[in-house]
Amino acid sequence: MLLDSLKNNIYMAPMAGVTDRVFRALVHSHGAGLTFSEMVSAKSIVYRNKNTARLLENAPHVRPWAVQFFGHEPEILAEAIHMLEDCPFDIVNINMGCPMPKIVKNGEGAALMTNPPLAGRMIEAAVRASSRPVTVKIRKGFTPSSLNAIEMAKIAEAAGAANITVHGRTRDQYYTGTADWEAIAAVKKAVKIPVIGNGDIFSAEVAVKRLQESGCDGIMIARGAMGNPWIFSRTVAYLETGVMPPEPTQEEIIKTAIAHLNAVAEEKSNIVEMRKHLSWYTKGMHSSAELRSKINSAKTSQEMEALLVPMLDKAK
Amino acid sequence: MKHAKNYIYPAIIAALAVLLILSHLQATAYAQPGTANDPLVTQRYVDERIAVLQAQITSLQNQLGNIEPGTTTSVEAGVVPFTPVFVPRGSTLIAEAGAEFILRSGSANVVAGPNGLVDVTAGQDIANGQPISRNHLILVPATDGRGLQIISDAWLMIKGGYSIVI
Repeated sequence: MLLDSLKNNIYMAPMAGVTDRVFRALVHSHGAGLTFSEMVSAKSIVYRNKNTARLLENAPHVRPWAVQFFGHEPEILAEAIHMLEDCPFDIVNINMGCPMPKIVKNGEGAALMTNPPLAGRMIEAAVRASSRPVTVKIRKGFTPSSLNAIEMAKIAEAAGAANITVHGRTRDQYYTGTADWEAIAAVKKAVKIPVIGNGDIFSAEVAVKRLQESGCDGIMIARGAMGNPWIFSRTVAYLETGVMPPEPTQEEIIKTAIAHLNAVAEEKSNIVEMRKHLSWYTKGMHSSAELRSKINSAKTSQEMEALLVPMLDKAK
Repeated sequence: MKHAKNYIYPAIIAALAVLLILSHLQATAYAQPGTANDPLVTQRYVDERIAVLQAQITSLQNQLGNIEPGTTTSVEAGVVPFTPVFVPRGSTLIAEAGAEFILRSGSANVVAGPNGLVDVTAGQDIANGQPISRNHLILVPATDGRGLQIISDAWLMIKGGYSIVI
């Protein structure tokens, strides 16, 4: 199956507002085994929303890649998947983990964990409608008193999901506290389908440790890859050779940031979106707080580049 | 002074009566040692009784140890929390006897036989087909298929047994 033929089991997580076409190409070139679209509303596909179409654009060489859908109506999800039958992507993923209030109050994202029968019907409908593997992303639970990741994983398995990703926090926690990798390992033990672990992987060293200790079939990196695509190249190199490559130098980081900036400028995407990426790249560098405040008032890619170039000289 | 004198004799009589009763009680609780009411016993008898009690204590301690830790973690023992649940429109929520729920968003109508559900907040019955009010505590009296028909996507807080028919 396609999922077994991925070049490695270190995935770039879907992240709204972050994992756009350019970012996916960047982490792909740094070795990410699989990338995901930003989350896409099933309903907006069915209603042919123009902004949504943009989320489905992908660099042709970045394959395989997955599109992540969110919604709460099995029929609409099936219809959306059916409509995208000819769209060049490889894997369907259903979002059952997003904690954001505007998603959850519509009964979507992590809200589906409060209604496992509905979640099961969503997965079944997607599996029936899709010619591609259907995967699911969940959390440890919705609240501390409703930890049902194992129940959800079994439902996903029974409904025909090809794998399941578990984030080790409850919806209540959003991204506070720490990810519970014991809960992830417990899901791994409970089902036969592959389980991908996710949460708090902020360095290649932690990535290797989590992969080896949790028994998971793969790991998914989200915030840990923001401004740090090297987390993929270093993790993959360590797993292949047993030697951990050094951290990137400031010069390498700034060069990559400039290349990323230019790629976004070329795409004619909203350049303001680039501000957060540049803040992430330069985090922890000398006088980066001052730099960030300048970046956040820069309006063009030229202005941003002019702020970055002096950092190259400082690095030498 | 005349009045005070009148109280002295009854007071003395009452005090004597109390003393008499107390001494009698003491006599029955702690009889003279070595008599039929407080017999002397052998060391072997005491050791055997202690052995029996010790066995009971050990057995109870083992039972306590066998109660799995974690069965009451995260939730205070005996306290069932309200759990938020999303139920999409068109589905039916069937609750068990004693279940409680609160409609937080969306809308829903009562599904019940002739006896309806209890709106604890309003202090009224709500009959089959009637809409339930948001933020009212609703109680389910019996496990006989009573529950809610969800009219528009709803968030409920639920305590107790239930199932959702989509």
